[in-house]
Amino acid sequence: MSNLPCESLDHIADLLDGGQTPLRNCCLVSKSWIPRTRKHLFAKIHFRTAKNLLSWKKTFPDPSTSPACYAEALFIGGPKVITATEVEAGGWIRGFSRVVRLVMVGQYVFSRGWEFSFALFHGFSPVIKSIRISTLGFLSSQLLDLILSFRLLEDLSIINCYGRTPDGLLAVARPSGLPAFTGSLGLDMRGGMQPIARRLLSLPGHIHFRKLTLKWSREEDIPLTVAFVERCSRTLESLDITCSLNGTCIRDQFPHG
Amino acid sequence: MVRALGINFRTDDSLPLLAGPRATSFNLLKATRLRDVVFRPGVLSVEWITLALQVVTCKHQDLRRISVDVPYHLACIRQAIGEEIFEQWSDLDRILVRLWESLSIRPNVRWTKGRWEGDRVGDCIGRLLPEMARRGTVTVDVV
Repeated sequence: MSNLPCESLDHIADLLDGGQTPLRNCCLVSKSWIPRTRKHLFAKIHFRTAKNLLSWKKTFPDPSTSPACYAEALFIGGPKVITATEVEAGGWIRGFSRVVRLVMVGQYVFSRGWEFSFALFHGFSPVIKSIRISTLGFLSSQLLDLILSFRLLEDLSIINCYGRTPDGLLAVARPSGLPAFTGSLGLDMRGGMQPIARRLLSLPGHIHFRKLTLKWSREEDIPLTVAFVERCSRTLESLDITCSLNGTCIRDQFPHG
Repeated sequence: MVRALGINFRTDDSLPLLAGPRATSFNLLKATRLRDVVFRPGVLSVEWITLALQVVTCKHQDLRRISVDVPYHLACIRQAIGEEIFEQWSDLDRILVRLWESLSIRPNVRWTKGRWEGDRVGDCIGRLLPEMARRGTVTVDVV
């Protein structure tokens, strides 16, 4: 086995991608097999609960030697996970420096006097290309700051989000190094997403999405939706528009058919 | 002020709206790289869809799919929603016919699975998009 070329061994590990048990067994073959199998074993990391994260930190106490560097997709769910993050500022999340796809979901219910900041996540992986956020209870400026901290970001999805009271979006001052925004945008205007939409539209020359999935539900969303289409018209390849103005859905008007 | 979706809103000079005497919609004139378009009208009016498609020309040579979701109550409540909405669907029907004839774009109508199933779906599509249905150039997906 040791005489096999590295490329062949890598190829074997590639073929086992998705099979957790075979990959774990490969880790036991020899030390030389560990890196190539870890690449697949830790490609997608899901922290659904705080317990998941605590388990991770207990298993890999040193972020510099943890397999976080193999992660390409990171799923963070629930506020307790984020809270655990804040306790250890600059800690585990920095190890995920090669994450390409980030998903954040969960409901963030803020108690009085307690404020969470997404700042710990800013630019934690410089190669992130895709972000999907589906959360409740954040400030628009926090969310936008997070988004704009990833310079190579191409795909952005903000669906089923409900922000708190608009806070003026005072932050975000990055004249250089704005995200590429050349992939897809999914934006559900419901839940106070208009400030984010306006800010994205105001970025100088940085909206070139090829795919737009837009959903509007209020009268004031219409010009924003129209503007997105216009701004991306030269690069646009796919357009998906959902219109559900408040109270005017057919189903709402005629619930009994 | 222009009228869209049965409501009025003010046009802004910074937003290049395709403003007509009656309605406003998306300006797809420059979007010549479009490959597929999906419209999901949760509202009664589909005038905005017709207006958006009016500017599609032979320059949109990559456009191969146009999908329109039919709100599942719509086709069966003609008396309730009045002739105006059905006229708008007729206008959309004419635009889709033109796009089929001139650009060979076969429209896809998606029907949300609801109380009316089976043959009635076909009947309703026939009433909303009569010309397309008559020619058999519309694909209906029940989703």
